[in-house]
Amino acid sequence: MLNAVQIIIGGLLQGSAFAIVALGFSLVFRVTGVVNLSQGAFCILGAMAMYFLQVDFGLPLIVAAAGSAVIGLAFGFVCGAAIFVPALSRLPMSAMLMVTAGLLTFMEGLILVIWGNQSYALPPFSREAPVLIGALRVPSQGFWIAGISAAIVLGLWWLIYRTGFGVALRACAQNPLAARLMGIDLNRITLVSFALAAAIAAIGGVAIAPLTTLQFDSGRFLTVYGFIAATIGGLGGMAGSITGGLALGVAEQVAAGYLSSLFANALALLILLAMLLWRPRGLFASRREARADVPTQRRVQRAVVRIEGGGAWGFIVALVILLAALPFLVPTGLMASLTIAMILYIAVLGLDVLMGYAGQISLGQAGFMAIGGYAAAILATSYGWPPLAGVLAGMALSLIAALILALVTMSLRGDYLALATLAFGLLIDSLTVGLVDITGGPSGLVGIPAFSIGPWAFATPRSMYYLALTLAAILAAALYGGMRSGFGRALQAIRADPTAAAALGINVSRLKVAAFAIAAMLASLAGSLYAFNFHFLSPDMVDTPHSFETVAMLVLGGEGTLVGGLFGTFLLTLLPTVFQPFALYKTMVEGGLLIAIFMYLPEGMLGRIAVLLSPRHARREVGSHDDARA
Amino acid sequence: MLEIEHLAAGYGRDSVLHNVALAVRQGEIVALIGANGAGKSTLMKTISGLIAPRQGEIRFDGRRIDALSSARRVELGIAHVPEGRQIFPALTVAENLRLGAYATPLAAAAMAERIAAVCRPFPMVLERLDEPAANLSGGQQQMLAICRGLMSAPRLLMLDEPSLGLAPLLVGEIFRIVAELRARNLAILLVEQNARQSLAIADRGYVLEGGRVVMSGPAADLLANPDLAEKYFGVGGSVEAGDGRQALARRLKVILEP
Ligand SMILES: Nc1ncnc2c1ncn2[C@@H]1O[C@H](COP(=O)(O)OP(=O)(O)OP(=O)(O)O)[C@@H](O)[C@H]1O
Ligand SMILES: [Mg+2]
Repeated sequence: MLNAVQIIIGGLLQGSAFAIVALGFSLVFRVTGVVNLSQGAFCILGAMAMYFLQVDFGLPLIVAAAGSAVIGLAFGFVCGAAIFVPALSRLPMSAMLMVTAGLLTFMEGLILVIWGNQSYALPPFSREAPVLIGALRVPSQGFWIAGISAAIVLGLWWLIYRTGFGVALRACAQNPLAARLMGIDLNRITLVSFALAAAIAAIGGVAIAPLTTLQFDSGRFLTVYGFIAATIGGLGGMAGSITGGLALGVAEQVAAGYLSSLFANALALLILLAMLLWRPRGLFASRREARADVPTQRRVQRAVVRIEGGGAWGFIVALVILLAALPFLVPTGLMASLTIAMILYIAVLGLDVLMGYAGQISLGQAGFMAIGGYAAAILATSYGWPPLAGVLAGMALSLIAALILALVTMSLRGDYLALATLAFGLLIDSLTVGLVDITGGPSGLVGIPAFSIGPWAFATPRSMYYLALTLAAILAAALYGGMRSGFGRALQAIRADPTAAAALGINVSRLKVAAFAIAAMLASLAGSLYAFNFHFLSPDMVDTPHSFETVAMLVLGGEGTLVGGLFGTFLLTLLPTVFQPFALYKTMVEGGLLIAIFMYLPEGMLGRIAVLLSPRHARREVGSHDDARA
Repeated sequence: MLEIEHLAAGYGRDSVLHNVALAVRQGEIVALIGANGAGKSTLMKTISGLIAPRQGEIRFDGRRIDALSSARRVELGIAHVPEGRQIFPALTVAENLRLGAYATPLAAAAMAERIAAVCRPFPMVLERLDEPAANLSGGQQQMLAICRGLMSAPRLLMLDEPSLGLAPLLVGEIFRIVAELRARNLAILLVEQNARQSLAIADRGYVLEGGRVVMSGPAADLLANPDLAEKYFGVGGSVEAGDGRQALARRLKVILEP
């Protein structure tokens, strides 16, 4: 019994940290309707700034904490003014999600460059012994966290409900169009909310840093937990965020205390999936605070350039010849990277069907790569299956996972679907790390044989390269044909306007599921080849950052072109190899690229080149306009 | 006071308004007539700055305003009461009203006075100042929207279907108030479903068809025009959805023909 109370108190403490992140989330979501994935990165920024000011610089606690909050606020202002607000006025929701994912990656990279990849632990705010309440021990930092959370809540409440700025903010949240008519500067309110949310996150990071160790990339977990908390609370309300945070904290600690910490992670992600499915407006959603006039899905679509006509075939033949000759043209040191790029391209190709044609975003492709990779590797090493059978089994498993995920998530709004895939990817991440007996845990699986079909073994990078090239060429040609068939046209109709497509008798959900399944199976195939190529597989080779990376590769090359992804894949894989000294900057550059492409080059490299070379063969598809934020 | 020339505007790749010319003078009511989808609301949105024009000029008191923000236009004296109420449901009635004067800030005392003044014709609004606006009935919300539009003390008031969803008795009331506002030297641009009634109180009128001004003149002349009578004043109203349907057909065609 005592133990249970102790666990619940621990849960409430952890939960108040989640609640702080959730508050920042809901502030931005309320004003803009955007789920800001970079929220957690601001926590880490705050914590690192605190470490710098307090430990390195020796400033007193209060000054250092205030300084960290100011750094968070300032960085929030810069990111908001340079990225978030301008992006919001020209991008659809799904792209906004990717811009914030890009910002998350960029900030992780920035923190990596400044503070390196070691773990940091801050000293507790005060050194008192844990407080004993009856027989319970509560660490003193717990009271600090509770106090800081309460202060943030009160301050935010005062700002939103007691000031003119708050009235304007709520007006923008409820009806942006009418708010503009009142002369409220929507962009200014958005910017201030974004920066405030960043400052809140930074303070939250400062408060929880002494309880745990943080690294440059811990932000994404805080993002996810904060998002789950906000979702439980119904995204948008303050009370909901706090209750959601506390509830999640308690659920986590109870699961960790009575079952295992692996189960606790999985539980949180399952809660998110369940919430998105059954109660997307939260457990405590109040009807009155609901956004009144905002269309749930903006009509704008990401621009695509489709390449057609005879020139396209000539281009593709030339490209295949070039790719076949490539191993003889580059220095041998690059061969391994070429092989990796070619394998990854297969996954990117599948993603293009989903994103470039069906218009859905998946942030969980690496999850399918992991399924394919681990299935093939385990079957080959522990059960002696032939590699090809392992690959097929992995694809079958991914297909089943994709079907289940797709069938339950198909009714979700576009950006919620993307979040559900993100949750799926993170769930797989925690399984690959946590199921030590099956996956080998963090240290991974070794001794994976080379890929072979009957007597032919593909033991060298070069032979793997040609294998991947052959597969990619066959798949790309098949998909090229497929996308010009009725199936492909129907997918494009869905992308252009799902409602109109449904009105024309197109079975929208069935086609979306099909596109999702194709993407999953190709990712799985790539994951299996990955494992056979390296003879080794560890969780960090197929974790969530790689999901973001595949999206970046695709949009950099050009969505909806099938071959475009090749350019993005090769560029992002080869650049760090060619410029070894800059490998440290890889994460940051990838994040920056993701943002820049979405904002300035929505048609991708290939799309832009196609438009420049031959405007006749490039057809630009753009959707219509939403006037609330024109 | 308001002059528009060669105005073109639209959404994304759809053009809605083409070469529109229109003027509203001080102290006059101008009625804008047109079928559903003719572009009446779009024209108002362009004037209030919610959408940017593609071509043409909008002048207010002789100065170009087409590049100004909505906030600046409110400051200059243009108020837009949009179609479909568009109040802030979770804010109180008083907060809704105060937001109406957001661009032209007032001290507390002046604010209270202004609220009392604009709500005089609608005593109901004054009685429920502290309730959430969502608690008002549809018609009451419409009155609130009109009051909110008046809070910035505009010189040009644009009313987009102010009587939508109101009981017949209240519709008469709205028309009476519109006439009263003119007496206070406000300029009013009015869109109403009931074209005959709005022309009856208007000084002049414009007829919009497919985003173009096809006819304009003194309200009395328009009222007497047999073509218009057939199209817009008929009992039961042969209001066409023609343009809306055409736009949908265009969209579908783009999707179907790759
Ligand atoms: N946000 C929008 N995005 C794209 N097209 C729009 C948008 N709003 C209106 N339209 C289109 O613009 C055209 C004119 O619409 P508008 O609302 O100006 O018509 P209206 O004359 O006010 O009609 P009603 O009498 O029904 O209010 C229509 O074809 C409509 O489909
Ligand atoms: Mg209208």
